[in-house]
This record gives sequence, structure tokens and C-alpha cells, in this order.
Amino acid sequence: MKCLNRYEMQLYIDNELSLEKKNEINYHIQNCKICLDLFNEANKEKQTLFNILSCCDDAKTETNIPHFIVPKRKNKIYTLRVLKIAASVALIVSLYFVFQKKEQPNINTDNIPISVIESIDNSDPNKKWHNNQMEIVITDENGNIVESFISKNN
Amino acid sequence: MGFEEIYKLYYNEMKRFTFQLNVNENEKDDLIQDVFVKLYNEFQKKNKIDNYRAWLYKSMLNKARTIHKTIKLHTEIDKEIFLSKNNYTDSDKEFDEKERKKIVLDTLNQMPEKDKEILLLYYDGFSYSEIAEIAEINSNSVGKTIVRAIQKFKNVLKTQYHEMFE
Repeated sequence: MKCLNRYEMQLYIDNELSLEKKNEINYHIQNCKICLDLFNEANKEKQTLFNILSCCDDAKTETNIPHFIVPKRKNKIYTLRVLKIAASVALIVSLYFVFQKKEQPNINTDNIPISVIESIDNSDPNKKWHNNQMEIVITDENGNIVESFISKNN
Repeated sequence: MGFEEIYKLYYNEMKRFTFQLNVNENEKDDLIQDVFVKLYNEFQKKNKIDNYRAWLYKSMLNKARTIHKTIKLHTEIDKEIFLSKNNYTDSDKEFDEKERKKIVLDTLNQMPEKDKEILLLYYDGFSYSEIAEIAEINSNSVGKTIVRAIQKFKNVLKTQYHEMFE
């Protein structure tokens, strides 16, 4: 049998070989100094590694295991029903606002006094306004002048 | 085996595994709960699981991978806390133990993610075929990866903390 390499030795010390192969190596190691040294070295490395990693075993000593919180069961039918109700409510609310906008209050305009704006001459009121030439005269129902001023375009 | 039995049997192992993976203290409990909730759902669906322990480790590993960036970030913060000896009121022995843990975790974090995972699974007593299943690698390459990971671990420790690995 040929001498073992490091990888084969790892399989051997980790007991990952067939019984036949293992027996073969057992016999070889007893008669080969090089493989025996490799075996001791690999074994020592494994033990040292395990000793070092054992310092991270904090949870081994923990005894207080918290109670498992059972997750709430997701009921698909229930979720669908809730969604249907929510959609119906949203539709009703939106319809309410739509109709509220369309329904204008019916105001009786018969008794509301109407103010009349008359242009005395036939000139363009916009042009006059912009040129600060528009004279505005406010009179009451008897024709008496209440207020009079010249427009100011700012 | 019922769910409650599995939960009680493996809770501590999962806690230890999160410690080895250096998951932030605030996230450990949520992560463990998530993994067991996933298992609980598998029970509800009556899905067959042959190896509960391996299933839990695999699930935890996947969860930890998703928060990998967060883990790295917290490692840096934890390192500072560990190193500030002035804040310690513990005895020297306790400090030595904490310092030792910090060194080991630090060394593991310096290794490639895959090597680190395989080394931890190897330490936790899984067979090569189980390691291959959990870490999602070819079963023929497990042995070689273990040898390589041990050498890397040894080299980092020898370079930085030579007294720990002779």
C-alpha cells in the first residue's frame, strides 16, 4: 500500500472510509513511521481545533429555553373576506364624495340685488383699465353718486 | 418526534450556532424563532424531514447568510467592546476567556465564508455527507475542504496569536 496523503489521513481519522479500507490503513500505519507521524499530527490538529472552538460553546450551559410562540395561522379565506369588505367600504365612501360634489344647493336668486356695471362710452374697458383712464362711478338706485374713483393698474 | 421535543432538544444548539456564526446579540433570538417557525410550518404541512438537526442547521445557515453584511458590521463593533479592558470589572480569568473567544471568532471571521461554515459544521459533529447537504457542496470535496480550512485557521492563529495553536 502507498503512503497516505493529508486528505486521505483526514478521511481515516474522521471515520469516513469503508471498513475494508480502514483495516488496510490500520495495518499500514503500524508498519510505516511516516504515516504514523502523519496520523499523530492530523489527530493532534483535530483535537487542538476542537479545543479552541469549544470556547464558543456558551449555549451548552443554558437551561432556560423560552416558550415557543406559535405563529398565527394565515387564513386565506378570512384575508379575502376582509379585502372584499375593505373594497366595498372604499367604493361607498368614494361614491358619497362624488355625489356630494354634484348636488349643488338650490339658491333662490330672486331677492338678491344685482349690481350693474355700465360702460358710459363705447371704449374698450380693458385698454382704459391698463392705461389708468377708467373712471368708476358707483350710484344708488336713485342715481345719487355713492363713490367715484379712477382705476389704478398695479 | 413532535415539534415541541425537537424545539427543546435543539434550541441550545441553534443558540450556540448563532454565536459561532457571530450573529448580533439582538438578532439571535429572532433568527432562532424564524428557523423554528419555518420548521413548525413544515410540521403543519406534514412535510417529511429525515434529519431534523441537519435541517435546522441548514436553515440557520441560510438565514445567517442573508444577514451576512450585518454580521460583518457588528463584528467590528463587538471587537471594540472586547478590546476595551478598562470597562471590565471581571476577574482576569474571565477576561482571558472573553479575550480567547474574541480571538477565535475573529479568526473564523477572517476565513472565507464557506471554509468557516464547513469548519463549524465539522466541529458540531456532522458527517461528511451531512456537511455536504447543509453547506450545499459536493460530498467528495468535503474532506479536502476540511483539511484546507484547518490549515487556514491554523495559519491565521499562528500569525496573529501564535501561542494558541502550537
